[in-house]
Order: sequence, then C-alpha cells, then structure tokens
Amino acid sequence: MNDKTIKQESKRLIRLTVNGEPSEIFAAANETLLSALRNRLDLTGTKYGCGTGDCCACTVILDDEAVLSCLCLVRELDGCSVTTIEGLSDGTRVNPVQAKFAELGAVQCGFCTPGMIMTINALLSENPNPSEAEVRHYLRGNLCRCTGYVKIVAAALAAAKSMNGDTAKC
Amino acid sequence: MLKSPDPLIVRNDSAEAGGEEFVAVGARLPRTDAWRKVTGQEHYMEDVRLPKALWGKILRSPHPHARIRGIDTTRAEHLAGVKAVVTFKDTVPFKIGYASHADQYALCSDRARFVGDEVAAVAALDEETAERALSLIEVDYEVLPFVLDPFEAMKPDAVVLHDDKGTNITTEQHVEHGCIEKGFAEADHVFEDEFNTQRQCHVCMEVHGCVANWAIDGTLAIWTSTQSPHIVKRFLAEATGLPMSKVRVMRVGVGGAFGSRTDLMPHDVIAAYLSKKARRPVKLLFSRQEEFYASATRHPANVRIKTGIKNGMITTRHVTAVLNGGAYTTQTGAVMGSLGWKASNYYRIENYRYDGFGVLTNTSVATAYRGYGGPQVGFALESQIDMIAMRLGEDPVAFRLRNANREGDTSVSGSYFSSCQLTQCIERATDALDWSRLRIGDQGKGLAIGFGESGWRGSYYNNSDVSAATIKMNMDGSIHVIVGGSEIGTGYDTTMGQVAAEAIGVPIEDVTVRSGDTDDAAYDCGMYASRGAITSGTAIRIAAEKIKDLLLDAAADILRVRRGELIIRDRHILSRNDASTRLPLAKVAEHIYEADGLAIFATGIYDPQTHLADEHGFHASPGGSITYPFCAVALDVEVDRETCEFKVKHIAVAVDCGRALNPTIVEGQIEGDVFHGLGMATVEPGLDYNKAGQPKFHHLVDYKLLTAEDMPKIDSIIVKSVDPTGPFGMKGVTQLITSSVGAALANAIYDAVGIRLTDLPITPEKLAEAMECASNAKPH
Amino acid sequence: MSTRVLTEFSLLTPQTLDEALEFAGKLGDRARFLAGGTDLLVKMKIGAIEPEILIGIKKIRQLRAISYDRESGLVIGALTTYRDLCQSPATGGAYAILRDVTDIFANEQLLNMGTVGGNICNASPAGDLIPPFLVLDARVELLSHAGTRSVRLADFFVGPGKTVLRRGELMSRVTVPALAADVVGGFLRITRTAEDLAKVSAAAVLAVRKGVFADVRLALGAVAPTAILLPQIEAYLEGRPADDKTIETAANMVAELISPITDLRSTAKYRTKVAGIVLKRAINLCISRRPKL
Repeated sequence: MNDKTIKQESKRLIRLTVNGEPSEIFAAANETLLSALRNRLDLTGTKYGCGTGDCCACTVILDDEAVLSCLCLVRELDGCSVTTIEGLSDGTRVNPVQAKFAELGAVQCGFCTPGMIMTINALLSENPNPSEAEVRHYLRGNLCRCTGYVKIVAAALAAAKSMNGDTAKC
Repeated sequence: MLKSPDPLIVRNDSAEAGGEEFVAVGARLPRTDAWRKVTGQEHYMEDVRLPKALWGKILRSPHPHARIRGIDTTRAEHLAGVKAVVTFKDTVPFKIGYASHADQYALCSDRARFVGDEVAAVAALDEETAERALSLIEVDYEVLPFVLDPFEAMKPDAVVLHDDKGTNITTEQHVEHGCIEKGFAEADHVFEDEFNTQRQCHVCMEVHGCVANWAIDGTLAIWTSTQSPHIVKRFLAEATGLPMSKVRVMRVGVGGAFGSRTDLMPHDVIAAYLSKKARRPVKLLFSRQEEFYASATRHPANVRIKTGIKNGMITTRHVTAVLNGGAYTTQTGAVMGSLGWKASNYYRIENYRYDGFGVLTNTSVATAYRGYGGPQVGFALESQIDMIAMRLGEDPVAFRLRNANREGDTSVSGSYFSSCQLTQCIERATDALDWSRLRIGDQGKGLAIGFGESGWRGSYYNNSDVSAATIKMNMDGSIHVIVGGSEIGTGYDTTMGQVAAEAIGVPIEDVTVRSGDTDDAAYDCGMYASRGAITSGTAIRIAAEKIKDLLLDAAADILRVRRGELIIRDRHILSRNDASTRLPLAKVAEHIYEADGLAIFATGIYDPQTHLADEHGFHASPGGSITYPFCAVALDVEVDRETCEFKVKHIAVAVDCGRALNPTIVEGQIEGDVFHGLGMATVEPGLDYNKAGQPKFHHLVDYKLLTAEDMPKIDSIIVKSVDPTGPFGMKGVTQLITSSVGAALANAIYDAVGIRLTDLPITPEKLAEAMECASNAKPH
Repeated sequence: MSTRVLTEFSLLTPQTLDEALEFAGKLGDRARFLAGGTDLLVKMKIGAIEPEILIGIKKIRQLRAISYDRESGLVIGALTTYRDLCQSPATGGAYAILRDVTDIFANEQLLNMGTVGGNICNASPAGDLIPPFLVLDARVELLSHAGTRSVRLADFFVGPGKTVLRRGELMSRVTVPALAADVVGGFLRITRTAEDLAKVSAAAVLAVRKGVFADVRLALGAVAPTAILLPQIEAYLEGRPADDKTIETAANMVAELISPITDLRSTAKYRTKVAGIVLKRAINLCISRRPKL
C-alpha cells in the first residue's frame, strides 16, 4: 500500500436506498449521512443539532434501526437502506406518530420533531405497546427545548394506541 | 402502517372558554404549522436553498481580551474556493445596542473582548473550505489583561473593556418608591439575604445563523430565525448603510428562540457583508460549540434582598442586583431594569428601592432569556419568602396568601392589575400537590409564585410597543392575516388566526396567517416580553372590526335591511330579526369587489400607550406592561440523604393568563416554562470560565438538558380569568413560570432536609456540601 | 474543525481481518481503526485527534458475534453493538450486569451504533462497560500483523484514553470466563441526567454461600485515571457475613482507594463521598439478585 492507493480511495460511488428509492452518491471519506441527505439528496427534514451524538435531532432509520446520521459515514453504508422523516408520509397520508404530534400539540418550534418522530417509530416497531416510562426512557437522548416533553410523550402513547387499532379516544 | 390523519378540527369546549360562546377562541385547535413540521417540510435557515449560495464562517477571538494590531487575510483569500473575506474595514462602522449604550461592532475594530468575539469572516464554496480558510487568516493580537468577575470589574482599578466609557458599569438604575428608610425603621423584622444564579445557555435546538443575499440591484434580503424581523431590518439597514426600503428580513422556521433571537446579531451583519463582497448569497450557521461559547446567554446575577415585615405584612423591600453582562452592553440595561421592576410587583408592599448594576466583563454577551431578569430575582424573592416565614414560624402558604396581590391592586411601582387570580393560583397549585399531607421521610414540598408582563413599552430598541396587522378578505370570503410579528414556535400564527376568525365570525379553516416578512407586514416591535398575542391580537381585532364594518354595510345594502340587525356567523350574514336571512359572506365579498369596486382590506394598529421608558431606555415607573399574568408553582421533591441526589416527582403550575386563546398551546408554554426553569434550577451548569478566561465547555455532552426520562409529572392548571384589556380577555403566559421553579425547588429541598441553598443550580454536590456543614455545625 | 464538518481523511474499508491488519501494520501511527464511530468521529469533530487515515472495519462480520459455552465462557466480538449485547440470549442470567449497562447507556441510537470494542479501546475512566468487564475478569484479544496476544482487561488500561494497544493492533474480542451458577452481578451509576456519562459507577459480582460472601469482584468507574478493581475490599468481604454491617464497612474503605478529579460532571469531594455508597448499592443489587433456592 502506498499513498497513491490510499488517495484513489478518496471518493467512491455509494448506493443507498433512501425512502424506498435507489440513490447514488459519489462520497468523500468525511461525508456524513446527515450531510449527504441534506446536501446531496435535498432531504432537509433531518436536522443538525450538535454533530456529536448528544441531541438526536438527526435520527434516521438505517436498516430498521434508529441511528444518528451525524455520526455515520456514507462510505460505510454501501447497500444500506435509509428512512428519513420525508419517507414516513406520501404527501397525502401521514404516519400515526406524525398525526398524533400534530393533533396533540407535541410540536412547538419543530426542530427536534423529525428526530423525535423517527425515534418513536423505532420504539413502536420494537415495542408496539410501550408504557409511559418506556417511552420516556427510549426518548432520553432526544432533546427538546420547547415542550418539556409532556405532549411528545402523550403523542407517542396515543400513536401506539392508534396503531394498535384502538379507536378509543386518547 | 400509513393511514389518513384524523380530522383535526376540535370544536370549542365552551366550559374551557369561560362559558361564553366562541367559534375559535378557547378551542384546542392544532397548530397551523404542525403538518409542515411533522413531515420535515418546515424550512429553517439551513434548509433555505438559493442558487450559488456560499458557506460563511466566522473567525473568533481565542483570547478573552486582546488588541488587534493587524489582520492579514491574504493566504485565506488565495485558498481555492474562497470567495470573500471580510474584516471590520469592509463594514460601515455601526455599533449594535441601544442608543448611547451601543458598543458592539459586528466585527471587532481593534479590540477583541471575549473568547468568541467576531474578528473576521470568510465565504467559500463549502463548509470545509471555509473552515480551512479561517485557519489561514493571520491576526496579530496583543494580549491584554482581562476581567471575568463582575465584582472585580466594578472596582475602580479594574481593566476597562470599553475605554470610551471609562467604567465597566455601563448601565445602572436606582429607583425608590415610598421610603425604605422609614419602612425598615418601622418594621417589626428586617431580613437580608443574598442569592446567585448561573449563566444559563438558551440551547436552542437550531443553532444561530442566517442566509443573506445582497443582490446586484442593491437590495439586501436576509432569511433568519428572528423573533423581531422589523428590529433586524431597522438596524441592519443602519449597519449596512442601506435605506430601510432596500432591506428585507424574512423569518424562516425558528428552531427555538427564548430571547436569544431578539436582536440584530453580529452574524447577520457579517453574512450581509460577505454576500456583498462575494456577490453571491451566503449561508452562515454556527456549530454547536459556537452556540455555547459565542452566542449570548442569560445574565448571571447576584441579588441581595432586604425585606421589612410589619404585622405579618411585607411592607418594605430593597433589592440590589449585579448582573454580569458579558463583553457588550446589548440588552443588559433592559434586563437589569426589568429585574428590579419585576421585584417591585410581587407583593403588596409600600416601600421599594432598587439598585441595579449591569457590569461588563470579558465573557460571552448576556442577553434576553425567557424571564428577562425574572428567574434571577424570582429565585431570590421567593426563596426569601420561605426563609422569612420559617424565621417567623409562619406557614409559607398562608404568608403568601396574606401578602398576595389581588385584582384592582396598583403595585408600589404603579402597575395596575386589571385581573389577578394569584390567590386562586396558590390554592389550586398547592391543592394539586396535596399540600397538607404529611411528608414521609425525605420528601419535601415547595411553593413559589410568579409575576410576569404581557407587552412592554420602552424596550431596549425603541420607545414603542406597537403591533400592526392587515386583514384582506378574498372574493370567496376567505381571509389573509398579515402580521408583523413572528412565529417562533409559540403558536403565534395559530392563535392569531383564532383571534381573526373569532373577531370576524368565520371558521378558522378560512384564515391564513402570514407573519415574519418585513416587506409584507406593517411594523411590529417583535416577539418578546410575552407581547405577541396581546399586541398583535388587539391589532387584528381592530382590523377585523373594520372588515366587519365593510361586510355589514354591504350586506345591509344587498338585503335592504338595517345594518344593526345583522351579524356574521359561520361564513354567513344572519339577521337577528329574521331567521330565514342567510347570506353567504362570499356573496357579500364578491359584491364589494365587483359591484362596489372596492377591495376588502383593513389595517389595525395597536400601541397600548403604557408608560414611557426613562431616559436610559430602561423600565421606568409607573406601570410597565399592558396587563400582568400571575402564577403559582408547587413541586415535590424526594432527597436521597446518602448521595444527596434529589428527584422532583411532580410539579403543579397554576397560571392566571386571562382567557386561554388555545389551551393546548397555553399548556405547551407552561410545560416549556417548567423545562427551562427546572433545568436552570438543577442540571444546567451555566457557562463558566477558567482562570485563563476560556469557556469551560463547548459541547452538549457537558451542558446537560433534562431529558424526557428526567422530567417530572407536570400539571398545567389554567385558572379561570378574563382580563378586560387583552383581546378576548387573554394575557401573556410564558416566562413567569420559569422565574418561579428555582425557588420552589429550593423551598422543597429545605422542607425535605432542612438545608437552604441560595445559589443556582442546586446540585447534589452543593447539597452534600451544605449537609456536611450543617451536620458539623450541630452540637453533639 | 467543528462539529459541523469532519476534516478530510482517507478511509480504507478492508473486507477481511487479514486485510485490516495488513493495512494497520503498514500505516502504523498514520491510521486509526474505526468501529462504531460514536467516540472516534466525535473526537475528530471536536478537534481532539486528527487522524490521516481511518480503517473502517464494519465489513468484517466475524468481529460482530456473541457466543457462550461453559468451556470458553462468554465471547464477544469487538464489533458487537450494545443492542446486540442486550438482545443476545448469551447475556441473560448471570451476565445481567451487562444488561444493566445497556439498560441505561447513552441513548437508543448509540446503543445501535456503539460497539463493545470501541467502548473499551476508548478507555474512558467513565466508560460504562469497563467496570462490569473488569469484575467479570474479562480478557481482550489483540491482533496484529505480527501475531495475537491476550491481555487481562485489568492490565489493559494505562490512563484516561490510554491502553496497552500497540501500533497496528486491533482488539478482536472480549472473553469472559464462565461464572459459577450462584454468582450474580450488578452495575449502577449516578449521573446528572438520564443521558449522561457517569459521575461514579460501580460494578460487583459475588456469591453468597452459607451466608458469607464468596468470589467477590468489585470495580469502580470515574473515580481514578482508569476504572479500577478493588482487591482490598474484595479480600475484606471474602468469607465475611453478607450483612449490612459488613457491606457498610466495605463501603467506608472506598474513599482511601480512589483518586477522583473535579470536572464538569462532579467534584472530587462529592465523588469521594458517594463512591462507597454506589458500591454498597451495587453489592446490595447483587444480593437481591441471588438465585432463589
């Protein structure tokens, strides 16, 4: 190995499936998934909050798991599947978590909202019927400066109910 | 998994709305921006896309205090991809700040005054290149002695930050109402205590920044997450030398503000000049570490209170406060003034004196932050009430009830309380916590009251409290409301839509609110001091009355009846006399446009004409605000005596905010207020500096926010109240609860373990220290 | 350097272990291994390190595996994530101490991303997995182009962020000897908020046989330059009755054995005060978990 072979590695075509659609990114080594989503694919719903994994605003679903896109290198994701907040609704219908957030006032400034909604979707796919304590624990990394989390937690619980087909008023 | 959203329109619960019949006011309507926000479609600053936009970055001073002898930007300019480098020399010399207190250039002229001060800036094709270019700018610094502590900075021989001022005490206020000397002389008891609060950081989830485009036609457009678009416009015009007509400020999605986005900020000016020089749009966003060390904070404060009691009544208070304003004055004078003014309004006192000092130090700039002096002084005032009650052997709840303000009171500083349900707030909050139940083990309960403003004349910017609104009705009867305020996450656009819908008599679905674009909307001072809903709301009502006049006149014409018998309800003109009359508004609108050849268009302007500021632009008496919200915060805590960790289990907040325009939004504000207050009271460390003047941390891993798992149960109780002043009886709601949580916690901890802590934040470390001291002091 | 962008570096993504070791051998100090990235990329963003080359090892699937048998005990591949750890049947029962960590560790996203090898090699004095692995008497296997060595975890750490890893060496797995059937473990920590690094953490494994302590192993995190074992207290407890008085005495021995610092999370004084209490609680947690006979 010499410096030339290392350099040749410096950009590479990466194939991802993003929100169900195939995407190709000619990625440099230092390109994070967050940056690629926002700047290459124009999926600006995923937010930069801190860049160090301490706020979870950049949460996306990577191959069925919630991850922090600010700490993922695109170059390591060849062949992976990514779902972002834009992938949860088709423009006319929304995901139940999104619906409950809107309905129950879980949104204020909205900046943490996409990350919150992605994380709650990950929770509900693991645990369709969480207790309030489980919701609060699962959301411990997702910071919100506006709401005190009250209505976010309520929305998560209501979404679980509605996804479980319980039509009772929450 | 996907299914259609449930219908979102929830009808008004008339009980919640106070038993009166309202269409939109008082309803738990979902926010109008919710769908954009839950789908990731809301555009914040970083999401603004402009062709050929560059990335801007700011070079910041690494020294707490230094003379800048020279800046060599040559190497940075030659780096491939760099399109512009700016320094002070490229700018119109304009100082940010209030009138004679303005002391901050957007880019340092010849002195850097804190670690993070703006020295130069670059615009480049991408962020990486811009960052690399910063490292190529050579600054010749002469390091100067610095001062970090406000008490040191007040000494006559201290290092002075701004030579032309000759002192670091750039703002001070001394006011007296009644006579404290007499008050203390006549008092049965006089108590004096001292309290300190930390430099809390706003920690907006969205970092600060902006996008600027100084176009070839000499217009400057700026997309920014501001609370006050018109204020930014006014001062940006001055800072760029452009006429105000050429400057357009557009508020985009605001990822949290809490006071931190009230002003024109240096980076707004810097981005504008980068754009001017590069002749391309420039997007400039902070990193999270810049957000901590270079953006503004809450003022750390030292508050001393002397209180005189006679016959169980608080008669006299003397408050002395020293606020650390950081390197530039900006809002320090106003926050310092607000602190003293708020303190004058807490109880039915007869004599009051305030001595306030805003002191500059070589630290990050302190500015407006939720509560605006309230959290600092609220912690002190309401801690001391419990301390006094304890010393007098009184029940702190009864003591407060006896001294509490009541409706119709005028405070010692002249504030008239047109509505005040404070005693009911105290009762409701303590009841929710089962106050009288015996404490088990190391449990404790604490109470604190809060006082707030709704609207504020005589702000730091201007001697105005004006809001304007324009309403247009289309030919189909639907309505545009264009307001000068700014949706900053508080639900402003939604509640203003509710006010318009209610005032005109149409369903909320027919109303579209547009806020935050200075080219669209008439002037508004901005979203601060809990003024948005009350001032814009009133302006909307005024405009709505004019629209109604137009509609009813035209309808009377069409129907050939007397105008007086007509009303507007649910998109129709109805008659009081004839149940069969049902004329669609759309028909009337069409008639006005086509038959009458008119346009349905009206403007409302509201300025409450409250008090004027004093000559320094600070709060002056009498009065201060349009009307006043009150609250009581009760919480319970459980202390682990071994580790001195404590857990707040339950917080009950009862608030008198007048009629809640939208209870869901009001609750959201209460819950957010609790969050900021409890964070300040417990885990938020405050931005401290080491001996070298360097900030002790830069990252969220060090500055903790409470998480969903840490937050206690919150009861939000909206006490029934209708204020005669505010639109539909409303008052402001936010800020005052943040001001109350710290004292409620300190009081609860005292109740639990008998330890009184007077410095925020309260940590297990401090509690352990105090408990150890207490046990050492106890005679065995 | 900022938390907005990563400065440039080269990224190598070897497909096999041999290839990875070959790269590492040739590049020496110029390269760092990249596992989950949750510590390394953060250190790069905040400017603590500026590696020229990263060797991403995520593709080396064999490093992500957990197995257990009585003979070899618990074997955890270095790329095993926290999520793998809490979901694997191998970490049930006596290894509940590892789930104590995954139950409270950072946040759910980092559970999916962070790796066991990464947490250990990061060598933070407050690394949550380290005290449990210390009391489990774990060994780490270190591979290099030159060969393989096995190091007791207790001998692995040299200081904050410092280990005995040599240039070009890769940690491939952690092995934990099988525990006696009656041995139980527990981990506890105290923090500022639910998502935080430890102010103090404590791990214990022990058995209570005929009312007395046996096979006791105790460790503390965040109270010294590295996580530490407490052999003096282990020796004190061994054979003594498992009662409150004994535990209290053991807890009171802690203050003498630690050298905590004051940092942004806590103070040296407070850590000194509570380290023994946290240890006591970890011991009591173990006792509460004793198999019901």
